[in-house]
Amino acid sequence: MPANNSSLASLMKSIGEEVDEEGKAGWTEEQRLLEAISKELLHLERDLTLPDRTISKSARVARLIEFIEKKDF
Amino acid sequence: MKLISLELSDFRCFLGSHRIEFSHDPERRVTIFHGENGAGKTNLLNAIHWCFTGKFTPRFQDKQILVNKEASRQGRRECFVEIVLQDESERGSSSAIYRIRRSATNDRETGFEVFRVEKGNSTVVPAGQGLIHRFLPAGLVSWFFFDAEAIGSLELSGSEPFRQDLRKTLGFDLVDTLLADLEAVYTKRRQEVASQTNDKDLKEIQSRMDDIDRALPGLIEERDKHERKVSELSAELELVRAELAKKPKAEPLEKNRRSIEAEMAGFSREKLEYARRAAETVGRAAPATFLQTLVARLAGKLDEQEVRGRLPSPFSDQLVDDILKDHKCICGRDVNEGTEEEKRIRDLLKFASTGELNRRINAVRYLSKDVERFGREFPADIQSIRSKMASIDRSIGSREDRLKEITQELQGIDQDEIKKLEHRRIELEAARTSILMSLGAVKHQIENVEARKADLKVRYDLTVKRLAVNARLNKEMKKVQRLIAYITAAAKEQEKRALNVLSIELNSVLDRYLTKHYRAKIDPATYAVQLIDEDGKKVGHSTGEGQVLKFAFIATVVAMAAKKTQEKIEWLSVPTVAPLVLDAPFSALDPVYQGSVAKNLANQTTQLVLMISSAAWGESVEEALEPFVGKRYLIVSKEAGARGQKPIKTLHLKGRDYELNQYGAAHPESVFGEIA
Repeated sequence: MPANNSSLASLMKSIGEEVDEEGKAGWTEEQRLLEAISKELLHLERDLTLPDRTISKSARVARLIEFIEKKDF
Repeated sequence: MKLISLELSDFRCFLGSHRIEFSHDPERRVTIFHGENGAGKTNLLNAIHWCFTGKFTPRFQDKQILVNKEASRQGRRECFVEIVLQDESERGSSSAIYRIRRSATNDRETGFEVFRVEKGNSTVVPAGQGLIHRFLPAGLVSWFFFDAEAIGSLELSGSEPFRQDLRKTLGFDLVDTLLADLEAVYTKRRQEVASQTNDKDLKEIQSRMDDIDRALPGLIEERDKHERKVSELSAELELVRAELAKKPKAEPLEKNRRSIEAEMAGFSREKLEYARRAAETVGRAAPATFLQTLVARLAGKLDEQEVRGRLPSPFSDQLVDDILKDHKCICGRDVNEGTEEEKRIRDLLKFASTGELNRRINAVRYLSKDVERFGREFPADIQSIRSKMASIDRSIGSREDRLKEITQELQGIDQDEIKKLEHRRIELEAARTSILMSLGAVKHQIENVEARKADLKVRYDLTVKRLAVNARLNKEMKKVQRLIAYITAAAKEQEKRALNVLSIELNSVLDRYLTKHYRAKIDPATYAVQLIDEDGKKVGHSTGEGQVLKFAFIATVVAMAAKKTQEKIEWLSVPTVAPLVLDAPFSALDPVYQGSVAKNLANQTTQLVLMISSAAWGESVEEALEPFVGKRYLIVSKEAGARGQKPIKTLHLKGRDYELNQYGAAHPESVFGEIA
C-alpha cells in the first residue's frame, strides 16, 4: 500500500480509537453493562453459526434465551 | 486463505492432467496467466469457481460439457478439479493446509471432498462445504472470483442483493443473524406472555403475528430470488448488447437504440415529476373544491356583517377604556364607578373591536380568498400538467415506435449471428420485464405484511398493559427489548463507520488513478455507489471513469473485508481474507486507466491471480504489475490441422516473444507453460 494511503488509514484508525475512547468515557453503567453483554452474545452467536456447525435456528434461540436469563441487568 | 496449487484433469479444453502453482509470497503475490481468446482463461477461472462452489460464472457457456472432448473420445467420462489452499485464520496454529476436490461427468457432479493435509497425510473433513464457506462465504464468491469482461454488468445501483452481499463482505452478517435470532427470542417470550395471561385478544394478536412470521421469510426469499434473477438477466442482456455493438452492421443501430433509451429514461423521469406535481395539485385543490361553497357563504356573511357595521365593531376597545378612565361618555354624561351606566359600558368591551380581532378577521378573509383561488385555478393547473404528461407520452410513444423499427432493421440484416443476438436480446428483455413485474408485486406484498405486523405489535403492547403479566416474564421481555435496541444502534454506528472508511479508501484510489477530479458517493440506505463530477453531476457507470470506479470498488471491498482484523470492528464476523481471481481484467477498460487499475489491484490484495490476453498486456500494465509477479504461465492453444494463412499470436515480454498458439496438433487442447 502506498505511503499516503497507509498513513490515511492509520490516521483514520487513530481518530476512530480516540473518538471511541472519548465516547466510552461518558458512558453510563447501564451502557457499559449492555455493551459487555452484547459482545458476549455476539461471541456466542459466532460460535453457534460457524459454517462447519449444523445448529438449527431453534437450538440457537434456546441457547440465547438461556444466556440472557442468566444475566441480571 | 491463499491458493497454493490447482490440478485439472480433463476439464474443458485441458486434456489430461495439469498442475499449476500459485504465488503466495506476500511480496510477490501476483500470478499471471497469459493466453489468447479461446485459449481457456475463462475455463481456468471457472475451474476455481466451480471447485469452491459447484457453480459457474454467469457468462460461462456450454456448462453441460465439462469433460474434454478428446478425453471423452478416448473413453474417459469424468473430469476433476483439485485445489490446495492454506488457511491462516485457524486459532492456535499458524496455518492449516486443505485440499478440495470436485469431480463430474457431463451429466452430473460425481464427487466433492475436502481433506485436511497434515505431514503429508490427508484426512476427510466432514461437512466440507461448510468449511469452505468459512474461507469464502457463498455470497462473496462473486466478488473474489470475478469475470472482469462482464464488469460492465456489475450493478452498483444499490439493489437489495447487492446491499446484502456488500454487508456480508464487510462482515455484518453475524450481527444481522444475531438480531434476527434475538427477534425470535422476543417472539418466543411474547408467546409465553400470551399463554400465561390466557387473554383471548392477546392470543389472537400473537397468533396473527405468528402467521406473518411464518409467511414473511418465504416472501423475502422470493423477492431476493427475483432480484438476483433480474441481476443475472441484466448482466446477460448487457453482454448480448455489447456483442451486437461489436458487429459493424449492427453497431450504428445499437448505438441509436442506446441513445433513444437514454432519452426515454429522461422522459420517464420527467413524467414521474409531473405525476408528483399532479398529485400535489390534486391534494391541495381537493379540500379547496370541497370547501369552496362553504367559504363563499362565510365570505358573504362577513360582507353582510361589515355592511351592517358589526364587523369590525363600530367602537374600539381603546374608546371604551378611555370612557371608563375619564368617567365621562362621548355624549358628555358622567359614568361613575359602580353605576348601571358604568356596568353597561364595561360590557361593551366584550364586543369592542381590537387589533387582534381585526387581524383574525383579515386572516379569515385571506384564507377564504386562497381557498377560492385554489378552487378556481385547479382546473387550469391540472389541465396544464395533464397536457404536459400527454406530450411526454407522445414523445415516449414515438421513441418506442423507433425502437421497434430498429429491432426490425436488426432482424432484417442478412447475418445469422446478428439475428440470433437480436432474438436473444428480445427474449432477455421480455424475461426481465416479466420478473420485474413479479418483483414489484412481491415487494408491495412485503410492505403490506410488515406494516400489518407493526400495527399488531402496537396492539399487542397496548393490550398487554392492562393485563397482569408474571413479573419474571415481564423482566425477561424487557431485557430482550433492551438488548435488541442496544445492538441495533451499535450496529448502525459500526455500519456508518465501515461505509465511511470504504468511501475514504475508494476515493483515495480514485484520486490517485483518475485523471479527472471525480468523487464516489455511497448511499448509506441502499449502498448504491455513484460517481460525481466536479460540478456535482452524476457520471454514468458505462463511461471509462465508471469502469475504473467498478474495479476500484471491487479491489477496495476485497481489501476492506480483509482489513477488518486490523480495524478491530468487534461487531463484525470473521474477516474474509481470500485471493482475488480476475479473468480479463483490463479488456473492458480505457487504455488510459489500465496501468493505474493494475497497480491498484496489486496494492489492495493479499493474493492476486490474473488471466490476461496479449492485447490487454500493454507497457503500463507490465510496469505496474512486474514488481509483484511471483509466478507466470502461458496458456498455449494447440490447434489441429495445418496452419495455412492463420497467424501465430505472440506475447512480448521482457524483450522476448512467446508463442501463444500452435498448429498441427493431433487434437485441439490447451497446455500450461511456466515462464520466468
